[in-house]
Amino acid sequence: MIIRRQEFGASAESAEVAEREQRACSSSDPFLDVAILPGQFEGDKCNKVRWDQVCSMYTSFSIKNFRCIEDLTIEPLARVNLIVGKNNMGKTALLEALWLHSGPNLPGLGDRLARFRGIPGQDPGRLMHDLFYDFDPNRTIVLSAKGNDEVDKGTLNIKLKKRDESLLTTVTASDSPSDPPRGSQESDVSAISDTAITLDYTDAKGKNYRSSGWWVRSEGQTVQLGTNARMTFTNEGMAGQAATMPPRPSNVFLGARQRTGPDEDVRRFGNAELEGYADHLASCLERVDSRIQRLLTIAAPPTPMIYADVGLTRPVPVGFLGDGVSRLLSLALAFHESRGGMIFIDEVENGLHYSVLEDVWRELSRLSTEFGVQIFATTHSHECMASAREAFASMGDETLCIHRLSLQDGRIAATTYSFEDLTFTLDYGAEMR
Amino acid sequence: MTPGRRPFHFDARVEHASLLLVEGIEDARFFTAIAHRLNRTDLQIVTVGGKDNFRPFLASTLSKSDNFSRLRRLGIVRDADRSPQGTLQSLQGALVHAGFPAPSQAWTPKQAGHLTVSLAILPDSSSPGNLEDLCLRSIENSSEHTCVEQYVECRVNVGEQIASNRLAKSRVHTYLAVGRDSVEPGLRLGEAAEAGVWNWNAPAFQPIIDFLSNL
Repeated sequence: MIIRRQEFGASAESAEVAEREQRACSSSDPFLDVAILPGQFEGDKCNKVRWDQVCSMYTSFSIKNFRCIEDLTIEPLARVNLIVGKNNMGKTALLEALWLHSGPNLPGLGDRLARFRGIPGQDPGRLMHDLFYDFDPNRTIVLSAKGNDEVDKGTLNIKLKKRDESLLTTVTASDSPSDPPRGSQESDVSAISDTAITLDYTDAKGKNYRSSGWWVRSEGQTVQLGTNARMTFTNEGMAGQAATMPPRPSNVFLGARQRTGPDEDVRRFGNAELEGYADHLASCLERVDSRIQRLLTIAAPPTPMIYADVGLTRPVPVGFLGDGVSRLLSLALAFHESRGGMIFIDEVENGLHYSVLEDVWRELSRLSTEFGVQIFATTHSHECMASAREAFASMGDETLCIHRLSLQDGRIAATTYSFEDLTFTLDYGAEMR
Repeated sequence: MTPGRRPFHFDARVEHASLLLVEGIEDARFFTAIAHRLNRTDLQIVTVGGKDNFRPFLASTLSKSDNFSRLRRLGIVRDADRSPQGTLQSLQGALVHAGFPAPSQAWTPKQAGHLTVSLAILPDSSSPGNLEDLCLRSIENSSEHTCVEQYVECRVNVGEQIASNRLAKSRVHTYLAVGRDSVEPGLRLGEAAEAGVWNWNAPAFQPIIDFLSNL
C-alpha cells in the first residue's frame, strides 16, 4: 500500500513558519476576531486597547476524558494564566489539551506529546490509549473553548477506532497528489495497527475538519502519520499546522523536560532578525544577564548557533551563559513566533533564579501584549507566583489569573483566582499551590 | 508573604466541618481556650488578620480553599466597635459578596445549601464595644474590677487622655498587669484566656459559649 508520507525536514519547517508568520501578520487572517498588525500593541498603545477585545483569546476551556481529567471547565481565563496544583493534578495535561485544541487537526500530536513528556515513542498496540481518561479509548475526548461574549472557539473530538480501508482511501485522496505539500515525498509504508486516531474539529461556524492517523512502518522505522497534516516539532517545543487545518495562529509549547533545540532557536532567531527584532531580544536578555549587549548568529561548524556579545574578546554561545539566559531567549523567540496565538510553558520558572523572576514576568507580560499572545504556564514555585503578582501590580496590569487544579470529590477541578483574589491570598499568606 | 505553618493561620485548607473566623491572634487564642473548655477539637479557628480582611478573606481565600465543600458551619466573631449595626451590615455585605448565606441578625444562624453561617458581634448585638468589654463584664462585680476602675479614673484625673474606644483595652491591660498566683503579670488577653484567668462560668460569657457550642 502506498500512501503519502510527510517529511518534516528543516526546509519544510522554514517554509511553513514563514507562511504562518505571513498569515499571522496579515490583516486578513480569518481566525482572528480582529487582525493583529505588527506593533499594534507596542508602547503606550497597549494601555489604550483592551487586549481581550482585540485578540483571539480563550476565556473558557473545557476538557472531557483527556489523560487524568474526566470533566473539567476552567474559567475565566485571562491574558496570562498561571496553573498550579500538586503533582498529578493534570497541570501539564491541561496545557496539552489546550495545545491540541489550538492546533486541532494534527493526529500525530498525541505521539509528540508522549515524546514531549520524555516517553520515547509508544507501543503501537496501545496506540495513544494514555491520551484517554482511564486509558479507555471508548471515551471520546472532547475539548472545547469559548472566547469573549461566549463566542464559540470550536470543539475538538478525539476518538480511537478501528481503521478501515475506506478511511485509508479517503485520507490518501485528501493528500491531493496533484498538489503535494512542500517537503513531502512518497514512499512505501505499511500500516502496522488496525486502529486509527480520528480528530474531528468543528469550528465556530459549524464547519467540520477531520483528520486521522495510524501507526505505519516506513523504511524500517515505526512512525505515526498525520496523513493529511504537516507539523514542525523540536526537542522542547512544537508548532503545528496542517494543510487541511482551519486557519489558526501559531502556538508554541515549551516543555519542562526538554529545552528548545539550538536549531529551532536559530531558525526562530533568523526570523526575528529579518524583522529587525534582534536588538529587542538582546535587551530582553539583559534582564537576566546585564552583560549581554548584542545577539548574533554564527554559522560556524558544527552547527549554526546564537551567540551573545558580552564584552569579551569574542562572542559567547548563548548556551554557555546558563539556563536562565537560554530559557528566556527561547521564551522570547516563541512569542515572536506565536503572534496572535498562544504559548504554553510547562514549569515556567525552570532555569531562572528567583531574583530575576519579577523582571522576567514583566518581560513576558510585555511580550504577550506586544505580540497578542495568550500565556498558559505551570509552576510549582511560590516565588514565581509572587513575582508575577509583583510584576503585574507594578505595571498596573491585572490580566493575570492563577488556576489551581486539585481533587474535589474525587475529581480534578479548577479553582480560579482573579488578580484581586491572588493579591489578597498572597498577602495573607495562604497556600494556593 | 511565604505560606507556612503559623498559629491560627489559614493555609488554604478547611480542616473541619466547623470553622470560626476571628480578627486577630489574641481573639483566636481567646476562643481556642473556650473551645478547649468545650472539648471542641473539631473546630478550626482562624484569624483573618484584621477586621477589614473579612470581606477579601471570604471571597478570595476561604471560598477557593481545598475542601471548602466540606465546610458545614461557619462562625464569624467581630467587635462591634462604634456601631453594632454597621458591623452587622459590613459582615452581611462580605458574606453576600462571597456568595455565602448572610444572617439577618447576629446570633441567629442562616443556612443555604451545605453551609450555615452564624455571626457574633461583641460585646453583644446592641452595644458598641469589643471583646475587652465582654471580658470586663465577666469581672464586673469583683474587687479587682473596682481596683481597675479606680486606677484608670486616677490616671484620667491626673490629666491622662484615654480615647473612649481604648478605655476597655486599657482596663483589661490594667487588670492583667498585676498577675496572680501561677499567672504571669502582663499577659495579653488571649494569653490570659489560655492561662485560665477568665472565669468561663460568668454569665457574661454564656452567649459566646453557646455560640461556640452550636457551631
